[in-house]
Formats: sequence, C-alpha cells, structure tokens
Amino acid sequence: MAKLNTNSNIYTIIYASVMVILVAGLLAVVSSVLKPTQDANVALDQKTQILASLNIRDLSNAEAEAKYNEVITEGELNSPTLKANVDGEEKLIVAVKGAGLWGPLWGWVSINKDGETIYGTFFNHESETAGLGARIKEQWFQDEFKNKKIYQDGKVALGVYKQGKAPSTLSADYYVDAVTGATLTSNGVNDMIQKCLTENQSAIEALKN
Amino acid sequence: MSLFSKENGEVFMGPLNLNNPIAVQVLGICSALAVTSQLKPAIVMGLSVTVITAFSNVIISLIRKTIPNRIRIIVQLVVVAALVTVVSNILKAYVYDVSVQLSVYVGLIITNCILMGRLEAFAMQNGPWESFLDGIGNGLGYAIVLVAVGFVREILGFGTLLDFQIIPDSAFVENGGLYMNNGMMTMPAMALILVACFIWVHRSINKNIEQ
Repeated sequence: MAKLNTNSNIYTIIYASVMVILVAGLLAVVSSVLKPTQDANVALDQKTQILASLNIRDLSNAEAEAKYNEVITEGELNSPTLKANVDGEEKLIVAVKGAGLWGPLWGWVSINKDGETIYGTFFNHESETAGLGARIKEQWFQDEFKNKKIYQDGKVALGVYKQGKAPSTLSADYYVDAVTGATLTSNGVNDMIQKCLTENQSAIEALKN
Repeated sequence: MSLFSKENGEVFMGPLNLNNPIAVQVLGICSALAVTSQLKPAIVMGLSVTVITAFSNVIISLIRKTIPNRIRIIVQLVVVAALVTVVSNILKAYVYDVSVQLSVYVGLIITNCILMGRLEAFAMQNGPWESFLDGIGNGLGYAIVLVAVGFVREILGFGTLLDFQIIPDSAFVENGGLYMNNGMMTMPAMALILVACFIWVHRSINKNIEQ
C-alpha cells in the first residue's frame, strides 16, 4: 500500500470534515442524553431560590422538592408572581429581574398579606465581582430587607442606598444599606426591585382584599 | 517495553514532583486562582483536568500518525473542546452546585496551557499508554497544587473544609472567642501568593530544578 500523503490538500480537507461531523454527532448525543437530568437540576435550583425568598433555607435537595410542593399554592417557576402559604399565612412572591455591573441579576421578593411589608428576599447573579457585588447572594444582605415597607404615597419607595446617602425624606423603614464597594451592583438591585414591584403593583394591592 | 517499566514510571511521577506543571513549569495558573477559594471546586476542577488531559492525550496519540501536520493544532483543539463539553455536561447533570461554582472555568479548560502543552510536546510523539500516564501525571500534578491551595484558603477564609465546620463556633469573636475568618483568603490574589509560597517551598526542597 502506498503511504498516504497526510500533507495533501484533499486529505486535509476530508480529515477536517470527517472529524467535525464525528465530534458534532458525539456532542449532540451526549447533550440530548443528559438534558432531562440537567433541566431537573435547574428547576430544583430555582425552587430552592424561591424557598430562600420565603426564609426557608439550607434544605437538602429532597427536602426542598417536598417543601416547595407543600408551600407554593399558585404559580409556575417562571411566572411573574407566585403565591405561597407559610404556616397558615398567605405570601405573594414577586420575581425580580434586572442588570448588575457585569451581567444579569434576578431574585424573588416575598410580601406579607398586608401588601405593605417585605417577608423575605433572595437575590442571585451571574457574574458580579466575587467578594463585592457577589455578596448580594449572601443571607445577611437579603435579611436586611425583612419587614421593610414598600409604598410611600402610592409609589414603590423601597430602595438600596449607600450608608448615609438615603434621601432624608425616607424613613429607615424604606431602605437597606448597599454592599460596601459594590455601588453599581447595589444600584442594580435597587432598580430591579423598584421596576418589578411597580410592574406588579396591582397583584400586590390585591393581597389586601 | 513493558507497561510499568522504569521509563513509564518516570513519565507518570515526573509531573507530580520534579516537573510539576504549576510549581515548575508555571502553567495553568489562571484557573488555579479562580477555583480554589474552597476545597470542593478545587478537587472537581483537578479531577476534570486530569480526566481531560489523560483522554485527550490518548486520543491524539492514537490518531497522531493520521493528523495532517498543517492543521494539527486545530485537531488538538477540537478533541479537547469535545471532551471539555462532555465533562461540562456531565458536571451539570450530576454535580449541579459545583458546576455553578466552577461556571466558566470548566469551559476554559479548553485553553488551559497544560493540555495543549502535553498534546503538542508528548502525545504527538509517543504511544497511547505512555500518553495516558503522562496525562494522568500532569493532571494530578495540577490537582495536587489546586487542592493544597484550596485547603489553605477554605480553612483560613471560611473556617470549614468541604463545608464541614473545622474551627469550632465558640472560637469566633461573635460568640465570645478570639478567632476571625481571614476574608483576604477568599480573594483571588491570595491564591497567587499561596501558589508562590508553594513554589518557594518546592524549590527549596528540590535545589536541582533548572531555572
């Protein structure tokens, strides 16, 4: 057998084409085989995030699934608002989405039956700076929102301000301190909350009835 | 040549110590900074790189005589990229929380200099078995350093190891003790300093390493 000339143009082109087709086929198979497991993981992760906004944290995967089914009474994972029943009290969960410094921010804000005060929050991010903006994902920041008030004169007043920089007309019930060193991410959280709570104002007011 | 000959032993053991990819060749530092703030992602990243280096080495070694010389780097990249995509999919399916933590860094294994270096320098000239040993050796050499750095950063930065509390709660300032976690350790810069310390110790012990 004559030795194959591995440097000819024809050989190179055929080699590259065959390689690409083989690899594409392999990746397509792997991806479609694993897709259902991955989707289940994503859904479960979202459920634990929604539960965190109801101050239900640190659950194992199985517990989270069961607790979610027990607590959430209305709404799908992707709906703008969900309803929950925590220890006999009705809560409204509003999904919030916005932009941080480097990428998207999202989260859930749960509101008490009075339609006025925050029950709990959860925020997450895709690519905020580790140790600075990324700290909005930490519980101490999210817990700052507990029992804060939302509306002043019929408008969403709840905000995130740098320490000492909140407008003097606003009482401390209406704002939380920003994350030190992460002004732009904190502003993102502020804008995201104000925008999404305003958009869902009718649903929040309907709570009072 | 037998499977476990002396030469093969050296191929495997070299990168663990005297030819360590991070400590001696100073390759693959970028990901070492990003994923070592805790031990678990460091271990998963180390294992992922080991598996990918080993298998891409074997595949390239098997097809090395058929690869057209002009597109050999492209062929190497395709093989690595395909393996990385498979590993990344497996991580997403079975250890979702770790894959979220590792985020883009699994994808960036494709550009990890250790991989391309081993493919081009070793797998293109050697048989599959030697290449496999070389890949495992280099992957583990990388993993050892990552795990060492992750160990120090997690215990000093968070007081935990693999999420288990190691420093007792009562020792912390908030509970009346005298101890505080060192927040600096959670920053990427500390990984660089720790890797440097690691290299320093390693070179003091092995004085004969060529600079």
